[in-house]
Amino acid sequence: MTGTARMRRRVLRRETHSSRSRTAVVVALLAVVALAWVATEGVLALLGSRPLLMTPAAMLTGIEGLPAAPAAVLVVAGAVIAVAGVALVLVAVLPGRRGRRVLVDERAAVVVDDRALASALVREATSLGGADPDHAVATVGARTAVVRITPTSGVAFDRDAVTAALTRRLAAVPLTPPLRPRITLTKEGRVGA
Amino acid sequence: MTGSQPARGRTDISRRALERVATALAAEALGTGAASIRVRLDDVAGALGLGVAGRIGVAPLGDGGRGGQSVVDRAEAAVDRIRTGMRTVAGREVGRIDVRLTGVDITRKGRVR
Repeated sequence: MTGTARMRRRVLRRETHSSRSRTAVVVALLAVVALAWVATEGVLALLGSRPLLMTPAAMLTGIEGLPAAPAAVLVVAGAVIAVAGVALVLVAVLPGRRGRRVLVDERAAVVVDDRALASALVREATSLGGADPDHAVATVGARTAVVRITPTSGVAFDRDAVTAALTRRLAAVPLTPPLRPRITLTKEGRVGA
Repeated sequence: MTGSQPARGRTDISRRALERVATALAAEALGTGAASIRVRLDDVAGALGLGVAGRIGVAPLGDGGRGGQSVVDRAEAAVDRIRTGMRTVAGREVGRIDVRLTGVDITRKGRVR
C-alpha cells in the first residue's frame, strides 16, 4: 500500500505544480552541445586538423580580448545573460503552482481547481449575505481567497457574519494548502437586483 | 459547498420594481396619484437613496384642510412613511430621501379616488 500512497503523492504533486523538466532538458542540451564543441575543437587541435569554428587558442585570446569590445555590445550581452540567469533561478526556486489544490481524501487523489473554488465562494458569500452573484468576483491566491462584492443598495451586508460562515465552510473542506476567505465590499452599492 | 440543505434560492427586485414601489408609497404619503410623482433611485454608501419630485395633494381653501398641517410638515411626515414603507414592502433600507414639491393637486375631501 505504501507504493500506491507514494505514487498518489507524486501524482498530486505533478497536478498541482508545473513540471520543470522541459526547462531542465533544454538547459542540459545546450550545455552538452557547448561542451561537446569545445572538446571536439580540443581534439582537432591536438591532431593538427582544421578547426570547426575556432581553435582553443583563438577561444582564449577571444576571452582575453573581451574588454576591448564596444561597451554597448558588452552591456547588452551581459544584460541578456543576466536576465536568462535570473529567469532560470526563478524557475528553479519558485514552487510553480498551477492554480489547483489537493482535496485530502482517504481513497482517491483529488485535485480542485482554484477557479472552481472561487465561483463556489462567490455563490456562497452572495447567497449568505443577500447580494447579487453577478456583481461579485473572487480571486483565489495561494492561501487567501478574496471575494469582492458589490452589495445591493438598501440591503445591509453583514461582512463579519458572512466571513465567519465562509471560514467555517472552508474549514470543513480538507484543502491543502488551506484557504482563508476575505470579503471586501465596494463602497457604492448597486440599485436593484 | 452547499452542504446538506437544499439551495436557498435568490430574490431579486429590479430597479424598475423598486421605483414603482417607491412611487406608489410617495403618492400615497403625499395624498396624490402616482402619475404626479417622479422617483429617482441611487446608492448612498450601500443604502438606497431616493429622490422624490412631485405634486402634493391639498384640499381646496376653505374646505377645512387636512387637520391644518402645513405642506412642509406633511412632506416631512411623508419621508418617514416612505422610509418605513420601503423597509416593509421591499425590504430595502433607505438612507436618504430628497423631496421636491413641484406643485399641488387640489383634491376634494372625501373624494373617492
